[in-house]
Amino acid sequence: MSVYDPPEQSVTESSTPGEASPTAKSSSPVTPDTHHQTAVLAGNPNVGKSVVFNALTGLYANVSNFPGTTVDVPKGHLPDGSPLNDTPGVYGLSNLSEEEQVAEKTIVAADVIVNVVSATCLERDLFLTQQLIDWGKPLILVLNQMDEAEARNLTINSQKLSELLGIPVVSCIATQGNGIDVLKQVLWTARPGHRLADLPDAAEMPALEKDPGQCLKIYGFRRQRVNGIVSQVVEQSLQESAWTKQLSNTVGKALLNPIIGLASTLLVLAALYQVIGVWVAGNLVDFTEGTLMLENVIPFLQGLISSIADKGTFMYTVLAGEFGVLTMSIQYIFGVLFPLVLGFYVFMSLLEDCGYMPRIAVLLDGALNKIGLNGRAVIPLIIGLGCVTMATISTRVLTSQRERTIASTILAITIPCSAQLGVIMGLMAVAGGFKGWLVYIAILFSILAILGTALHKLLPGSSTPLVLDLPPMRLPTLKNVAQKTWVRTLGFLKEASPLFILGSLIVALLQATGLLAWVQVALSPVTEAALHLPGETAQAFVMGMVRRDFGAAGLYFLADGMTAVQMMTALVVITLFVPCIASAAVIWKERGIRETTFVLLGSWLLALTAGIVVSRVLETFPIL
Amino acid sequence: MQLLQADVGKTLFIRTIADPQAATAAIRLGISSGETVVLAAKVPGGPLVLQRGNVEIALGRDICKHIEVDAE
Repeated sequence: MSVYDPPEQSVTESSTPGEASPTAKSSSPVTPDTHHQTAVLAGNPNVGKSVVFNALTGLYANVSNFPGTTVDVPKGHLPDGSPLNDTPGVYGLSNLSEEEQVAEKTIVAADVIVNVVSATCLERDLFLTQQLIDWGKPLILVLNQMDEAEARNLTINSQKLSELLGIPVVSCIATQGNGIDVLKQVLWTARPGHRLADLPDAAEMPALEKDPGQCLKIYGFRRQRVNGIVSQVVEQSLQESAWTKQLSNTVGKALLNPIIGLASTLLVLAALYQVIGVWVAGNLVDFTEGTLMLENVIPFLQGLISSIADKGTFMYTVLAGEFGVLTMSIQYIFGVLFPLVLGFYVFMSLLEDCGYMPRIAVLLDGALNKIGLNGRAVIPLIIGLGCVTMATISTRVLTSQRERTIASTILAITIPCSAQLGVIMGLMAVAGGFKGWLVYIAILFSILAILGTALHKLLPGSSTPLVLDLPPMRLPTLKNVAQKTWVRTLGFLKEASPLFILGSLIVALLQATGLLAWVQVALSPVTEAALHLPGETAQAFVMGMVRRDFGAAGLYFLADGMTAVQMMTALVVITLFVPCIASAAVIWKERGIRETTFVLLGSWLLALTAGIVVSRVLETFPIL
Repeated sequence: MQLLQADVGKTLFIRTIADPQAATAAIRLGISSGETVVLAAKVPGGPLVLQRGNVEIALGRDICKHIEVDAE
């Protein structure tokens, strides 16, 4: 048996995953000629599979901060040149969803399976492992999230686990790159494990498990075996006092109470607004964008460019003009995005690390079911209030393509990002102050509900029911939060920066060719006739495409001449109107051209319709 | 009785999961007939939280409505 032996004490205890060298007891690796063999990654949702995939392949295009599923099976290559394919995260291969079908097809065609499991949820995750073993596939187990397991006082005897399953086991903290090198070395020692007794030939298993009667019988045995294994390899030491445990339990339960839970959510949102909206998006960005970028870096860059191309030339305008690709992307990525994303991820990591996030997901599951989502969608929706681009990427935590379509559409159209909210806050004084806020929130909330319900009704399929493991409530550890934040921020910037640059380039070209101005002029009759707004507001709407807050800021100059009703109409339209060009680029990348077109046209139509309705209703019933 | 009708805090013996698809989905997560769980919480109009040993799992209503239990 070729087994990766953990160090003498279990890897969790030494908390240095992957440091030990493999000691192959016997050598029957899959094949010495690995170059024509295909390896496939398999695992449950949210176990860090995408992180492992990226670490193994070095493929940068698919870095995910909230690892979830990917139906279009990303492909890469291992350092030795062999192909490695990813699969959607699934709890088992039971044909229950499109994702499971894709995973099954990919897995059946594979030569070797790299099965990623979370060390925190072995009871759940090993079910798929045993299924893969029963299907006769050569397997290597990656015991990921060892840091999380340690934080929950779980000790896992990986040597015993390896013996019981009959396959090599590698402990790993993928987000920190811990254990990845060892995995690369021993990946091809994957081997078929110990199958359940009395099963027919491995090749017959996929077909046999499609038979409903047989399926549940086999599943029952499989479940018993997994429970048996877990009881032998997982130990939970109770380091915390009974008092701490009691407190953690009480808080955990309280958060699931609708009133306490809702009150806590409002508190969290208020804190989020204060920290991200006021301190980070306001004070900090004023410094990074205003002082650092606009006063120092950008003039320097413009000077540099003007030595190559004269001011006023096409080249200069595209590179360093008002919306130049070089100046605007640097200003935006380092001046705005970096501080914003960093601040946001600190916040999210804290909420996650203390166990708050999953409980809010549970609490809001019922409401989100009505728009075809499940509780997991709170993560992208909350992130959307920070940055819609970031949120669109995070829709990967959702289990099905259908949910991702619904979530990214709602995000792109109805959720104002923090940059925009900041400006809207300033303008709300003109649109009725506090009463204006209530009206604005009510309007957006209704549109979100209508849009979500319509998508839920129109899209084929159904939403996946929530299945969520609830970690105990605990105080977040500074190290974990710092590490998560840093890894995620870098991951996001690496992934989003090329898209921002692409977006800036498009805007720069639109401006340099005069198209931007043309659209603004062409739109003004529409804003006058349909929305009863000054023609100049068209300019603000189009600028909202470049950056959501530019659009809203454009309204500042017009605010004096506008009535409360006009301002409310303008604010609603600008919120709904096309997402900023960077989010559009991310939607394109994540969801494809068809959905992007739908979102862009849909937001146009919706913004116009909502604007007409809002202006007429508020003109008739002057409540502002 | 239906799991949805059980009281919070009760230890429950899972009798059957009627719908084969729900049964398939549940068994993979460790919830299957013959198991004993504690109903840790019920969110009105939302999921149920089941506790097995030290593990708490929240399950959406769509799965829970197919689960039949006996109070221990």
